[in-house]
Amino acid sequence: MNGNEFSSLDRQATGLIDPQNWMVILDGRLVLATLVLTGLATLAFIVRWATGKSVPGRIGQGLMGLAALTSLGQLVDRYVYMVRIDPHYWPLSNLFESVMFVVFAILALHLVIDRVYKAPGFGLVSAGLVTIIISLASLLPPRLRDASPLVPSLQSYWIKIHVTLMLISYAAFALSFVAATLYLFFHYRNAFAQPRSIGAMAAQQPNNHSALMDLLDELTYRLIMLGFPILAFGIITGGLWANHAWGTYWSWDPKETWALITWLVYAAYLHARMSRDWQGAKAAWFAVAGFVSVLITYLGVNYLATGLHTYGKLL
Amino acid sequence: MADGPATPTADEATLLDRDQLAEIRGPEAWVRFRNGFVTFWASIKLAVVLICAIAAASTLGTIVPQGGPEDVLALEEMSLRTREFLISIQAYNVYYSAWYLTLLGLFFLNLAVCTWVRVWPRLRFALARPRDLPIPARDHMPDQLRFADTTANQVAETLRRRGYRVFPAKEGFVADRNRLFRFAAMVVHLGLFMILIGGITAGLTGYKHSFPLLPGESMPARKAFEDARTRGRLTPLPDDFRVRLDKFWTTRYPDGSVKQFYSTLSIVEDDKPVLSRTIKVNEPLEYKGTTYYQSFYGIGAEILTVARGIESRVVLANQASSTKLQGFITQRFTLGKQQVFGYNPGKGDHFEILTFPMLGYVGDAKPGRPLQTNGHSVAVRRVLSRPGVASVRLVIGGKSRTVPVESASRFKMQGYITRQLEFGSRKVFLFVPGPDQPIQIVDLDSIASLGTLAPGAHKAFGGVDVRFAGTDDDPAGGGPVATELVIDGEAQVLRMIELEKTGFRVEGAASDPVEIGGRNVVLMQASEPPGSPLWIMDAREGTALAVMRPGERTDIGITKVRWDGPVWFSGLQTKTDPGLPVIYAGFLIVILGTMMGLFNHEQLWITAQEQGCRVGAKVNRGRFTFRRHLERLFTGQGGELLPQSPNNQGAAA
Ligand code: HEM
Repeated sequence: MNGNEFSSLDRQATGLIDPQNWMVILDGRLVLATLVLTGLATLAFIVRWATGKSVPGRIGQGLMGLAALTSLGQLVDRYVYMVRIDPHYWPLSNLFESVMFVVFAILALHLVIDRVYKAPGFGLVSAGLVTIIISLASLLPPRLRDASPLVPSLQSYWIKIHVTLMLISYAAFALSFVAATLYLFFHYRNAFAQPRSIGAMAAQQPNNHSALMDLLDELTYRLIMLGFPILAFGIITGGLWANHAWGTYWSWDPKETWALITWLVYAAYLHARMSRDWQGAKAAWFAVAGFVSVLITYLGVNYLATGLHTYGKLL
Repeated sequence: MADGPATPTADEATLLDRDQLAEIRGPEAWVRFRNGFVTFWASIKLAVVLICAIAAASTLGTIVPQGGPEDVLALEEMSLRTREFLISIQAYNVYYSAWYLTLLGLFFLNLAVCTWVRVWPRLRFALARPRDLPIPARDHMPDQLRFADTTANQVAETLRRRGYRVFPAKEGFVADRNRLFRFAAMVVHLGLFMILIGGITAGLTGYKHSFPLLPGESMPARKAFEDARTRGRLTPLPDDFRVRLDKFWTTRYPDGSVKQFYSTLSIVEDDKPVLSRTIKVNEPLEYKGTTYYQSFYGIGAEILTVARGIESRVVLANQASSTKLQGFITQRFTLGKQQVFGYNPGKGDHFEILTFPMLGYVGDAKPGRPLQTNGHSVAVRRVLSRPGVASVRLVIGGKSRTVPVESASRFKMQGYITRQLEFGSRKVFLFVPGPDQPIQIVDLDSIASLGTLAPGAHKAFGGVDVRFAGTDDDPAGGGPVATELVIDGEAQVLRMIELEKTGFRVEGAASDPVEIGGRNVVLMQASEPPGSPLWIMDAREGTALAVMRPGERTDIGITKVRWDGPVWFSGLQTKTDPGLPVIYAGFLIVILGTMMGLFNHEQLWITAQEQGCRVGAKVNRGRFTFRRHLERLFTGQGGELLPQSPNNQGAAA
C-alpha cells in the first residue's frame, strides 16, 4: 500500500499530478501516519482513563505531538508540490484539504492547551475526535478531494487569509466543544449520581469536583475567547474580499449568514456566562450550540441553499 | 429613590396647587421611569435573549430563498399554509423586513444603554490613581500568597521587573497589569455601533446598480444612479460622465473553464475620454467616488425586429441565470449520425427538432409538413394526448353547474383550479388533480382545505349540499404522452416527457420580458456551448415560440425577427458607498476589541507583615491560568499559595 488512497493529490484526471512522484506518495503516507498516530493516542488515553496511571497519558501526549508534526509536514509537502503547478494554490482548495488543515490546527492548539490545563479526559476526547475527523475525510469521494482551478473571484490573497482564519477559529471552537461536553458530562454525572442534598454533595466531593468544573469552564471560555476574535477577523476579511471582488461586503449569502450566526451564538455564550443565573451548565450548552453552528457553517450550508460559496467545497 | 424629592403627605398636598404638585411629582415619575428603563435595557439577560433571537431569525433567510413571494410559493415541498405564513412574515426578504429591523433596533438600544451605564464607572476606575482605589476585603481576593521571608519591597521589585505597574499604598503596594484591556468589551461594542452607523450611512447615501454593456455601449453615471435598484434617499447625484466598454475578453484554463475576465473601460466626460483602464474581478476602477466592478459576463444577443416597417433592437444581456423550460420533449432518436429529440410546447402538434445534447436547431416538423435536412426526413403522423380536464360538474343545493377549470401551473402546481365559487356562505375554489379524481374544496380566505369529494360524493359546505358529479375531458389538455414520427420513412412511437420533470434547464442568459409581435417574450440563450441557439420564449407560459440559429429569421405574429449571432457582454457593477470608511473602521475596532479580550487585567495587593508579606491577587478572567502564573512567579521567592477557600471562590466575576 503506498497510501495513495489517502492522498488529496489525486488530480491525475487533469494530468497535473504525477502519482509516482515521491512528494505525492509522501502526501498520502503522511495523512495515513497522522491517522495512525491519533488512533494510537486515543488508545493510550483510554488506557490512561482505565488504569488511572499517568504514563499512558504522557505517551498519548507524545503521539499527539507527533501527529501535529506529520500533519504539518503533509501541508507543507502538498503546498511545495502544488504551488509549482498552480501559482495561486493554497492548501485549502477543497473540503479534504481544509479538513486536514483543521486537524493540524486542533492538534497544535491541543498541544499548547493540554500543557497548561491538563484537564482530565481532554486528551481522550480530542484525540478521538481528530481520529474520527481524519477517517471521515479519507472517505470523501474524489470529487471533494480533487482540487479544481480557482474561479476568478478566488484569485486573491484576501481569500487565503479569510479561509485560513475561519478554519483556525473552527479548530479553537472544536476544542471548546470538547471542553464543554466534558463539563456537561461531569455536571450531569454529578447531578444524577449524587444524592440531591447539598450537604451530602459537599461532604463527598468538597473541592475537587468544583475545581474540576471551574477548570473545564475556564478552558471552554478561553478557547472561545480565542476563537471569537479569529472568527471576527475571518468574517471581516471575507467581507473585505467580497467588496473588492464584487463591490458588496455583505450579501446575506447563506454561508456568511451562518458564520455571523455562529459568531452571535458565541457572543450569547460570553454574555450568558456573565449572568449569575446562566453560568455553568447553561453557558456550556451555549458553547455546544455554537459548535453545532460551526458545523452547519462549515459543512451544512452547502446542502441548505445555494449562494456565492457554492463553488464551495471550500471553507 | 434617594435623589428624588420626598412625596408630600396628604396634608401638605392639599396646601399645594396642581402645578406645584406636578413640579414635585414630575421628576419623581421621571426618575422612576428612567431607572426602570435603564435597568431593563442595560440587562445582559435581555442582550442574550436578543442576540439569540437575531441568530434564530437569521437562519430563516438561509433556508427560504431570498427574492420575492413567488420564490416562496415555488417551494412545493412545503404545505400551502406554511408558504402563506412565510409570505406573510416576509420570509423571502427577512433581513430587510420590518420585524427583523425592529429586532436589530432593540438590540442596538440594549447595547447602547448597557455600554453607556458601564463605560463611565469603568473610565473613572481606569483613570484613578491606583492607590486611591479601595483595597478589596481579603475575601474578595481569590488568590492569596504568604511570604515568610521575602519583604513587600522585594515582591514589588519582582513585579516591576515583570512589567507590572507598582504603586506604593498604605502598608505596602498595589500592582496591576493590562488595566486598559478592561475596555475590550466597550471597544467591541463601540465597533458594532460604527458598523451600524456605517450601514445606515450606506443605506441613506449610497447606491448600487449592476448592468450589462456590449462592446461600444456606454452607461451614463446618472442613468445608473436613476436605474439603481438600491439607492439611499440622501444619495447625491453623481457627476455627469459615462463609462464606456471598449473591449471585453476572457482567459481560460487549459480545460476550458474561465480563469479571469477583463473589460477595458473608458470614462467619457463631455464626449472626451478622460481615462482608460482595464478592470478584472478583484481589480475595480474608481472614478470620482463611483467604483466600477467587473461583476459578471455572458453571451448576449441583439435581435432586430421589424413590424409595420419599424425596426427596433432588443438586447439580451442579463446576468447569467438558469431557466426552466416548459413543454414536452420526445425520447431521443437518431437522424443520420446525430442524436436528436423533438420539442413540443405542449399545445398544437408541431415539433422543433434539436440535436442532443448541444441543443442545435435542426428544423421544424408538423403534420403534413415534414422536416427535410441533409437527405433525412422527419414527419409527424400524430400526437397522443392524455385527456385533461376542461370543466367540473357540480350540483350545488340541487342546481347543476358546470364550472370551467384552468391549469394550476401558474401556481407551480400540477392539476387545475377553478375560479372563485360561492358555496352558501363560503367563498371557495376547487383544486382538481386530474380527470375523475377526488377534488379538493379550498377556503378562499384562509387557503385551508375544507375537504375532498370523490366523484359522485356529496357533502355540506357553508350550509348547502354540494355534489361532485364528475369532470369533462379536454381531449388535448393533459399534454402529449407520445407521438408517432416517421423518421426516414420508418414509423416510430416515441414517449414524451414533460420538461419540468426532467429538470432540463437552459443555463445561460435570459432577457427581461419584452413585447414582440403582440406577445410578451423573453430571449434566452444557453452560455455553453458556443453557438447554442437563441430561444424566444413566451414569458408567461415558459414555452418556446422559436429556436433560432445565428443569421436566421423568423416571424412572431406580424413581427419579423432576425438574429445575427451571439455577442459577449460585460457585466459591471457600479456603486458609491460613503459609509464604507466608517464600516471599515468599525471592523477594525471590533477586531481590536475582541483581541484585547485575550489579555486579562491582573491586580495585586502587597501588604507588609511583621515578617515577610502577604499578597492578594485578582484577575478579571481566566482564574485558573492566573493561579498557575502566580505559582510560577513567586514559588522561587518562597511564596506560598494559600488554598482557595469556598468563600473567595465566586468572587472573581
Ligand atoms: C453581537 C453583539 C455583541 C458582541 C459581539 C459583544 C461582544 C462582547 C465581548 C467580546 C465582550 C467581552 C467578553 C469577556 O470579556 O468575557 C463583551 C462584554 C460585555 N458585553 Fe457585549 N457584545 C455584544 C452585545 C452586548 C449587548 C447587547 C450588551 C447589553 C447588555 C452587552 C453587554 C456586555 C457587558 C456588560 C459586558 C461585560 C463588560 C466587561 O465587564 O468588561 N453586550 N461583549
